[in-house]
Amino acid sequence: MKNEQMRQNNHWGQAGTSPLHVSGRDHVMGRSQFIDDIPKPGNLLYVKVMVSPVANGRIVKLDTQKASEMPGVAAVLTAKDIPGENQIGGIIKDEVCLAQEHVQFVGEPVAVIAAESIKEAEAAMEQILFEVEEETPVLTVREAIKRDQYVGPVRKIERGDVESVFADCPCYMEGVIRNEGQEHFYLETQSALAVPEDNGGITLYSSSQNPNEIQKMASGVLGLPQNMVTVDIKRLGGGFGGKESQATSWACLAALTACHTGRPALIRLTRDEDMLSTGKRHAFESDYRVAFDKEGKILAYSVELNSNCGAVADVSTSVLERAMLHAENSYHIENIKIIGRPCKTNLHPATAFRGFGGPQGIFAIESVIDRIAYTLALDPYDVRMKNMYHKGDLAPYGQEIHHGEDIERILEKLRTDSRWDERKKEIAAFNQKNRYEKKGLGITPVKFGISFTAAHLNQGSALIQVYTDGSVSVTHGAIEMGQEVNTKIAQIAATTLGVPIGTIRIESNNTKRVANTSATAASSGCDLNGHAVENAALKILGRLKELVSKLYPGEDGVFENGYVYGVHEGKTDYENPLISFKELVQKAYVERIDLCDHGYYATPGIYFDREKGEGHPFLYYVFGAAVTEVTVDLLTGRTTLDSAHILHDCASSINPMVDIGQIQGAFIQGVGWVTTEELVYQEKGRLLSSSPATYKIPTIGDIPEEFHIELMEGCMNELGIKRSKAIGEPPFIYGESVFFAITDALCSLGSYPDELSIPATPEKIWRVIERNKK
Amino acid sequence: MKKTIRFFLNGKLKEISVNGETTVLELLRSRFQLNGIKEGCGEGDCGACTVVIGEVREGKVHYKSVAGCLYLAAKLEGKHLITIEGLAQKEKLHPIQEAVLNAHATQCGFCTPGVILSILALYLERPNPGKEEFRRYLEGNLCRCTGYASIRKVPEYLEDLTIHSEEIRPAYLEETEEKQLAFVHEDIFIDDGVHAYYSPVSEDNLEAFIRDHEELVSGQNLRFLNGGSDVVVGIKKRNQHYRLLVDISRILSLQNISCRDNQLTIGGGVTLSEIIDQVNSFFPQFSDAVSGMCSEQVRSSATLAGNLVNASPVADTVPLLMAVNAVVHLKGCDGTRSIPVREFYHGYKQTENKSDEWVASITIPVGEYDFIHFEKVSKRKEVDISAVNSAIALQISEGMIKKASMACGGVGPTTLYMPKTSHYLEGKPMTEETFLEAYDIISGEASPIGDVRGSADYRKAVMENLLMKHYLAYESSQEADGHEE
Repeated sequence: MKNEQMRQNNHWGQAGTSPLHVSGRDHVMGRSQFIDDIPKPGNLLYVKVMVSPVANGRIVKLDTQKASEMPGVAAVLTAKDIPGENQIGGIIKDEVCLAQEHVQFVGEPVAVIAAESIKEAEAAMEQILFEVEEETPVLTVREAIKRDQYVGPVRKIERGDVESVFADCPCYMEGVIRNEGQEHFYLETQSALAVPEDNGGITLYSSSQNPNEIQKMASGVLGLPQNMVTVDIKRLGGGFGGKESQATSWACLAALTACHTGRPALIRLTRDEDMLSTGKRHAFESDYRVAFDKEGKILAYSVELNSNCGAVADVSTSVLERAMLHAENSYHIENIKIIGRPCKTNLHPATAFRGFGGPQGIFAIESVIDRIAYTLALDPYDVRMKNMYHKGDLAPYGQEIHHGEDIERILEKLRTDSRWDERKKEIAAFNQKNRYEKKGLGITPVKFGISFTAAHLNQGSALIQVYTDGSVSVTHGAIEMGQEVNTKIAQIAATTLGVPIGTIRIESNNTKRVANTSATAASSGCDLNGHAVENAALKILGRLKELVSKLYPGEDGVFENGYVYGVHEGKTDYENPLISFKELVQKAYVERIDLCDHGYYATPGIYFDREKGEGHPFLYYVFGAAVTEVTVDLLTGRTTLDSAHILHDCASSINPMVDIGQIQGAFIQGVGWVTTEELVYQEKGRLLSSSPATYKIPTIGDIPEEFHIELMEGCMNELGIKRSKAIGEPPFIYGESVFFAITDALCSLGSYPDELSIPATPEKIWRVIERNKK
Repeated sequence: MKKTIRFFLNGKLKEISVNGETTVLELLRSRFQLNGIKEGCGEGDCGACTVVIGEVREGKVHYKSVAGCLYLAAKLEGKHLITIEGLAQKEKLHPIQEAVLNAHATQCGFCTPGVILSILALYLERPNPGKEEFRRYLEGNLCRCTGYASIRKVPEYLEDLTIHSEEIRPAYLEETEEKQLAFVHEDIFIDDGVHAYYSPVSEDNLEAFIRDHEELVSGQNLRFLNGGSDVVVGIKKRNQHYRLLVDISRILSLQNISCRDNQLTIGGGVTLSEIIDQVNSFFPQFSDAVSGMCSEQVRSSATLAGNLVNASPVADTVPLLMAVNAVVHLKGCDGTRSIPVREFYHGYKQTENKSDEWVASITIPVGEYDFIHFEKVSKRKEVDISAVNSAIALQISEGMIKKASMACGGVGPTTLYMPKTSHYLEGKPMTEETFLEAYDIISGEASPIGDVRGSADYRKAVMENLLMKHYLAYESSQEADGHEE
C-alpha cells in the first residue's frame, strides 16, 4: 500500500523522512496563490511595457503625448519619470530600468503604460511614437572579442605550465566546444504587484528569487530609503535562476507606476513578452588545447571560456566564474589554464540558470575527454577513471576536494548498475546490424561546488515565533519556487524543536521579517537558511530546556514529536513523557521566557581571490554521475532517449523524495537543453522561437522508459545542514550524458562529430550524418 | 435566438452574458474569481489552463479535457465545466488530488491544477487507462519542475486509493448529467455591435441566418469555427478579429462518422479525438497520424475540417488524405460541392472554400491500398508542429508496386501531392533500391524554404529520407505479419 507506507515512514516529519510538500494540499486544490491570483484591489491598474523592437541603436524620438490621452490610461512613463536612479544592475551598475538615449537589445523596456484594463493599455501602447537610429548589432562572442567588448574583466585561473607540456607531449589536440542558451520556461511568467502605502511607502509582491535585491533596486529607482519598500514573496511558479536578477525590472516598473499614480499596479508578462525580453542561460564558445598520453591521461589542458552575456552584465561575471571553477570537473589536471571572457553583445542579458555556468564549464572538459577517448580508441569510461580526482587532490584554484574519493566510488558502482560494459557490446552489435539507426551510450560524472562564489552572499537568516498553543511560525530567507525548500526548512525546525511538522507554518519571505537576505540560488537556499532556522530554534530550545530542568530537576529533556521526554539509564523514556511541548510553552510564557528568536548563519572559511585565481570558494562538493543510452534515426536525425541511470550523492538527505524529485526534474531539464530546446534568432538579434509553439521543452513523452535514480549510500557531509548536501543544480548536468550518447552513436559513422553543439537538434544531427556520407 | 449562455459549473447551473471572444480562462478568472486555472502561454501549448468539459454525445455525457485559453466561453451552452475548485469536498481531497500529493507529483504547483484535470478527464472516460492512454492525456501538460517521473507514477498511487472507479466521479455528476441530457439546445446569437457570435443547432438554421444577415456575412467579416484552436489563437495573439464568428460545433448533422462500401465519411464537426478513437478500425494509419498532432486538450475540440481549412502547409491530416484521394464536401447557401483534397489548396493559406461555406464532410476511400504509411518529423516527438511530413499509399502485388500515391507537407506553400514520384514508383519492385532511386525524382518535385522549424536543405533531405522511412515501415510490417503466421 503505497500511500499508507508513505504515511508510516514519515512519522512526524523529522529530517531524513519524506513528509509531503508543505504547500501540496493547496497546490492540488488549486488555491495556492501566485502573483496574478492575489485578490485584486478595486482600483488596480494594469501595466503593459513597451519594449525596443531593435537590438542596437540611438533613440531619436520617444513621444508619449498621444498615448497618455487615450481612454482608460492613467499614466505613460519613461526614463525621465524616474524620481531616483535609473539603475538596476546588481553586480555592475550598467543596467537601466527604462531605456535612455540608447537601446541595447530587442525586448529592452522603454516605457510603461498603466490603464484600467489590459486592452486599453495595449491600445495606448500603439500610440507611442518611438524612433531609433539603428546601428549594427553585435550578436556573437567572436565579434565581441574582435571589438574587445566585455561586460566585466577577463579572468584567469592557472596551475603549472601548460605551454611547456604542449611543446613536448605524446598527443595533442585543439578545437572549439559550443553550447547555445536555454530559456527557463518557468510556468509562471514574470509578474509583480505594487501596492502604495498611506505613509509614502510601497509594498511589492513579486515573482522573484531575490526579495532583497528588489527592495534595494526599487528604493533606488523611487529615491526612497530601503525601509520604505517592503517586498513580500510567498512562492514562485518556477524560477530556475530566471527570477534571480531578472524579476527586478518588472517589480521596479510596477513600483514606479504605483508611485506615480498612487494606485496599485500589476504587471504580468505574456509568455511571448517574457521570452523576448528576459535573458537565458549563457551560450558559450570555448577554445581548448589539450595534451595527453597514450593511455588517455591528460597532461595539460587550456580552455578559453567565452560566454555570450548579452547587453548588460547582470550576473554574468559570476556565471563565468563558476564556469571557470568547474572547468576541470571531476578530474585532476596538473597543468591547467582557464581563461574566462564575458562577451558583451546585443542580445537579451543572459542570466542565472540552474548550474550557473557550471554546466558550460563541465561540458567543455567532458567533450574533450570524449574526443580523447575517440582518438585513442579507448572506452570513454576508462579515460574518465584514469583522470579522476582522488582523496587529497587539490583543485586548480587550490582547494582540497573534500571527500573526493566518493566520486570514484560512485563511478565504479554506476558502471555495474548501468551495465555499461554489457551495453557497450550490445550497442556495437546493434549498430553493426542496423543501417538506419545507431545507438550510443554516454556518461557524465559531476563534481559541483556548493556556496556562492561571491563570499559575502553566503549568509542566511530566519525568524521563529512560537505561540502559546505550541504552533510555530517560521520566516526564513529562502524563496519557495517548487524546490520544496519550505518542506525541508519545516523539517529542520520540527526536528530541532522536536515538534510534528504539522505545527510548523512557513511564512512568506518578507523583508520586514528577514532583512538583507541573499537570492535563493546556487543550490544554497536550504543550506544557508536551514542553518539559520536551526540556530534560531536552538536558541529557543535552549531557553525551554532551562525551564525543563527547573520544572524537572535533573532532567535535560529530549524534545521529539511534540513531547518532552526524560532520559533514564541512558535511554529515552518514550512511555512517560515529562510534559507536552504545548504545555511547556504555556508555562514558559507565564514565566516570561522569550518564545521567539532570530537566527543567523554565515558559511565559515570560504574566500576567493579573483586576481590570483586562488582560494577556498566552496564549503563542500556534491558528486554524482549519469549513464544514458539513445537511439539516433539516421534518416531524420531524431533521437530517442532509451534509458537513464543516475547515482547521486545527497549525503544524509533531509527529504529523500524531494531530492529524487529534484534529480528527476533537473535531469530532464538538462535533456531538454541538449536536445530539443533551440533558441532561434533572426539576423538582427530578435528571438524567433519566443513561445512554446516553437520552443520545445520536454513533455511526458520524452522521458525514458528505463529511468533509475539512486541516492548513493555512505557519503558523508559533516558541514551540511543536518549532514545533507545541496541538491538544486548539480543533477542538471546529468543531462549532458545524453549529448555524449548522441555523439557516441554518431561516432559509429566513422568520425567524431566535432561540429555538433548543444542543442543536438534533429537538423544538426542530420548535418553530421550528411558530412559522414561525403 | 438566445443571448445568454446557460451551463453547469462544478455541478451548479449558471446563466451568463458573455462577449463572443471571451475564453473560459478569462471567464473563470475574471467573472468567477476561480483562480485555479492558470495562463502559461495563451496558445494551447502548455496545459496550465486545462479544464474538463462534460458534453452530451450520442445520448450520454462524455468528458474531455480542453485548453481554457482556446475554448470560448460561449461554447459552454448546455455543457458541464469542471474546474480544480470542483474536486475536493471541503477539505477532503479528491482521490486524484491525493494521489498527486502522495506521489510528490507537484513541485511549484503552477501546472498542477491542469495536470489533475487532465488525469480526471482520462479516468472519467477510460476508467483503467494503460500507459499509452496516460501519456496521450498528459503530453499536453508541460511541467518544468518534476521531469514527469512522479506524474507518471500517479496511476499507481491512485489505484491504491480508489476501491471503486465511481469514487473518481465527483458526487454532483449524476444529477448534472440528468439535467444535461434533458437540456434543450437552441440557437445562440450574441452581438455587441463590434463582435458577434452565432451558434446554430442545425444546418437549416445556419442557412437561414446567413440569408437574413447579409451585412454580417459579407466579405471577410465572417469566420466559421468549430474547436476554435486556430481562430482563437489568431484573435488573442495576432489581433485577427472578425465581425461574426459562426460556431458550428453544436450542429449534430456534422458529427457523424460512418463507413459504407469502402467509403469512410467523417463529418465536418468530428473532432481529432473522435478520429483517434472511432476511425482506428477503418483507417488505423489516419488515427495514428492524428494522435501525433497537438495535445489531447486541443484534439478534443479541434476538428479534421478545421485542420483542412486552416491550410497550413504542415497540416498532419492532409498528406494521407491526398495520398488516398479523399474528397472534401463543402456546403453553402448555394448548395453543395465536392473537391478532391488534392485540388483543395491554391497557394499558401489559400483554399477552395469561400468564407460563407462550411465543410459538411470528408469522404475517404478505404481498402484500396495494400500499404499506407505516414511519417512526421518535428523537433520534439509530442505536441510539435512538423518540419516535414509525408504519406504514401501503395497497391502491391507479388512484390511489385501496382499503384502508388504520395504527398508531402512542409516542402512547399501547401501540402504537395507528388505525381512524378508516385508515377515513378508504379511498376517497380517493392525494394529498398526502388525507394533509393526515387530520391532523385522527389527531389525535383518540391523546393522547400527554411524557417524557424527547419532549414531548406534539411527539409529537402528529410523529404527524400521519408521515402526510405516508408519502405522500412513496409519491411517491418511484413516482418510483423511473418511472425503472426
